[in-house]
Amino acid sequence: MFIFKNALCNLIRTKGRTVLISVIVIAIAVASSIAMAINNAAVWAKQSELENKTITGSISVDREKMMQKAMSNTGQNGARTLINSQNSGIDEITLETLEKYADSSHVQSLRYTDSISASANSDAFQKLSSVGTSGQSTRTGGPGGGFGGGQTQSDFTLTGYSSADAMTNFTSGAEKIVDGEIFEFNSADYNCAITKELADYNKLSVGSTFTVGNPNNSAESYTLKVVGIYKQESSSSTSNNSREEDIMSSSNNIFANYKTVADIQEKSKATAVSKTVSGPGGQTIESSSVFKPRVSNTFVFNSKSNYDAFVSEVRQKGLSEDYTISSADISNFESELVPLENLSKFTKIFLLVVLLLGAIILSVINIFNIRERKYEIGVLTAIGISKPKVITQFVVELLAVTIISIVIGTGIGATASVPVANALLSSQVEAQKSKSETTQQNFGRERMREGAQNTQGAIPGNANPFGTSNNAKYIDKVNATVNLTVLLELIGIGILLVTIASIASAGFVVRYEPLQILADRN
Amino acid sequence: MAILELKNISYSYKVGKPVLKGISHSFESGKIYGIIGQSGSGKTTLLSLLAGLTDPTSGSVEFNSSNLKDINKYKYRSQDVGVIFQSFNLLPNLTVADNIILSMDASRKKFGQSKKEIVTNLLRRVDLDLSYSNKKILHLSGGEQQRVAIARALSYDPQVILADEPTGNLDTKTQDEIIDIFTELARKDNKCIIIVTHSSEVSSHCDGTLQLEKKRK
Ligand SMILES: Nc1ncnc2c1ncn2[C@@H]1O[C@H](COP(=O)(O)OP(=O)(O)OP(=O)(O)O)[C@@H](O)[C@H]1O
Ligand SMILES: [Mg+2]
Repeated sequence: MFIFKNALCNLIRTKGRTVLISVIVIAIAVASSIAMAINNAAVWAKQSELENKTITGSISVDREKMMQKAMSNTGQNGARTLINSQNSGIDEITLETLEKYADSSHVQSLRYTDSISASANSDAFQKLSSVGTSGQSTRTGGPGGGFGGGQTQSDFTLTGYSSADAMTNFTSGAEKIVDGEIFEFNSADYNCAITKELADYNKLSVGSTFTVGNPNNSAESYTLKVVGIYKQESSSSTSNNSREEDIMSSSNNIFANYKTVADIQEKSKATAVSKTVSGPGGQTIESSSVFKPRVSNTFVFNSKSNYDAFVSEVRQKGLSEDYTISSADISNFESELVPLENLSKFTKIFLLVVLLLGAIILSVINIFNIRERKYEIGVLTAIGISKPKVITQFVVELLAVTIISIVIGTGIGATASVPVANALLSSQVEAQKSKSETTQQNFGRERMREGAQNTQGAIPGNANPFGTSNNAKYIDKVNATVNLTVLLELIGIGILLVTIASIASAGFVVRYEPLQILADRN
Repeated sequence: MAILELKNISYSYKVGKPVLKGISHSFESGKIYGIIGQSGSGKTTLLSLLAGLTDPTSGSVEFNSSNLKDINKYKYRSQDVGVIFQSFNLLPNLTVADNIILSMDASRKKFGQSKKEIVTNLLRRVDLDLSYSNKKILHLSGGEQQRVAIARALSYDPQVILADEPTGNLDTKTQDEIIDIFTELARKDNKCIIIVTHSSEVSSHCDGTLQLEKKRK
């Protein structure tokens, strides 16, 4: 149709106007495509990272609630009270309950560990300890102080694992068997794995046995058999002062299966003695010599949506608000995302402003344009070109400029988006880093990043021996590519803007009669 | 038979102030008509009514016995009537050729020759150098623009040609040539030519004239 030909010829005839509109639209398209690419990347990073990732979460007693309840139960006499499950009325969650919760389609698996504090009860098996800063290990005396008030002197931490999966330090490679092999998990076989340091120190090898006791009841003695000797792999991220000590204490970690540890607790119950001690507040506390279990649980989910579904399901099954369900993976990832989300928030506002400004500028240009083109409308209608055709011609002109400019602008945006996004992101990361550094300085120390100690799978009894890294690993690279979706979205927006502008111009075209326009001319 | 007919038309831009009142006249094919009258007497207004650019306040304009009110005026303007406006109404940013071709495109008529060839012939006919074909209207003098406007009105071969002082900006030699063109169109091609003019030279060539009186304010 000649109208299209005329529209395109007009664009060439009025080069100045065409270039002006193109430059504006290209600028809008470049800015918007980068902004949209960043937003898409942020959304994508969030979804893909969490959706296709195995997520672990755990249920634990809400410490704050426990504290509050313990306070109110023991009276507000200002004295420090011992905070534990005994005087708060909140029980540690039982394994049966956990297993009931784990029986869900959302849960991939449940792992749990039970840690108890054992003491050395023979000269043949002693703990490793450091003296001063020399790093020299010396043998220390027998079992430590008596029991009472829940505070026990422990030499060893005996941790029982429900399955090989639960031994996340092994699955991650932070710990490795160097001699023998790992124990089985199906029975209370009293097999264990100890560190190379502890084995060397006590001259134990695979196949040797040793005994440990209950620090609160010297009558108890348990014999364990070494089936594996493991070593902790050094990690480069740790170089703090407490490293030596950490290694010493983690050297005294003994690993067994869960059933063995549970069996020890059963046996301990049979011979338990109890004792009444007076607490620091003057009150009396009854205390038993039974090993205090420290059960930790880890639910494994194959996606964040399963985790979310699990949280609401468990609450429905009756888990009270005294317990928290948390996922270190998710909170870690969320903090990793902070800079990207800040950037994405900023780009969203930016996008809105750019589009709004663009719409205003284009409408204004178009309105001026139409006034200028009133005469043209008059001539075209006078020579018998109908108003709808005139409107079509104007819309085609605007649409052609807009779409071509959007394609060019998006092309520029596509080449610029990745470096621009990453540059913007790195400045956000810097800002976030300096913010958290300031926070750490305010605390007078390097603040442990929340949740970081649980990254290895929430096993408090076996906390990451290498401490926590104080440099959060923020996401600092995104794949902010401009894809076809962005291009189509922008063209959609372009068409919307053109439509708005066209409605304005159509109004003008319809209003004028050729006679008036031609008469008004001079 | 009359091709165009004014039937008791009146027209007023403002209510109560008619510019034209009770005018009846019929125009036939093959003839040249002159519309004469003082400045402000409503000659251009009458031509606008004949061109279908506006409707009369009362009365009717009939083309081939059908009221212009009832027919597609865009089609009428683009095919049946060629108008040479007093102020030419050419598109200043378009070249001479593009202005003419635009009208031919708008008529949606089929032409025996290529449009470029028609343009060349028309420019020759209105005595405009062919090199003007690619010049923008912007750069043309009044007389040159007038000749382009005439060429445009003839380009799509309309049955009626309405010319608002088509010779006003032309020297006597060119004026004579234009009158010859119109005479030829009427005599040879059986067109109906209606010319608004102050020139007695032009009106002497007319087969009939319509005298308009200026209304008192
Ligand atoms: N668009 C308009 N709105 C209002 N009044 C108009 C308009 N166009 C013309 N008039 C008035 O109508 C009257 C007739 O105008 P018209 O242009 O038809 O005169 P004309 O005979 O062509 O004059 P001229 O010889 O100067 O071209 C004039 O008084 C003019 O002021
Ligand atoms: Mg006039």
